[in-house]
Amino acid sequence: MEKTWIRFLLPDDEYKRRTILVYFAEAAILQLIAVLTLIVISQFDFIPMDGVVVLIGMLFGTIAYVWIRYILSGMEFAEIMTAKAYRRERKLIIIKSTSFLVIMCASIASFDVFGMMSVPLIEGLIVSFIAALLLFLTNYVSLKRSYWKNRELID
Amino acid sequence: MKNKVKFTRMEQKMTQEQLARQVRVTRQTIGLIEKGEYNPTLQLCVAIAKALGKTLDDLFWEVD
Repeated sequence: MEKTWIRFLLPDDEYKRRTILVYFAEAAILQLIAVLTLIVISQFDFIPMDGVVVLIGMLFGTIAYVWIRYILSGMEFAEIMTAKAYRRERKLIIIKSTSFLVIMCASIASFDVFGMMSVPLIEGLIVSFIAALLLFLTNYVSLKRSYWKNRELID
Repeated sequence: MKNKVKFTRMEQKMTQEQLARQVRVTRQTIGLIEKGEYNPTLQLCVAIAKALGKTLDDLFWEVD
């Protein structure tokens, strides 16, 4: 195991751990380039920049980069090798996403009933639906990529 | 990196899953090593060699 303070973020499997470290390093370099670019841009007045918006953008950009690379790498579902295991996992993903949607909608609806919502109910439901769809799509793409990759490696 | 992990494992009638469990990695990692698509650390090479009862030379040394 590498001697690093981010050990708690890394998985036990050696291949996964080293690949994720590469993604973190790539994200850090991209962030450095983004900071340098923003410093140059900030010298000119023609592009107005809100500091907080820029920081949030960089935060989400960095997380999204590592997340997308991880999903597309096909290493999340490392043990899914057969068509049967793939179908079982796909079913689990559908159940997980649907449960998430139901729980979110129920929570939002109950918040609305008790007058604890600061936004309209329909907006809350739309956000829940988008979140559930995103959860399903990311898991599904990751599963599909893992299955394709693993099929080539089976003995 | 070319290696003889798959050949040795099959010779010993061991599955990828069994070897993966013994050396505490995923089956995918074993598959990638066998295909030469991932170069394991020396620590993992030693663990695999021990699990298969072979030396590092037997598994990972390329002979022309």
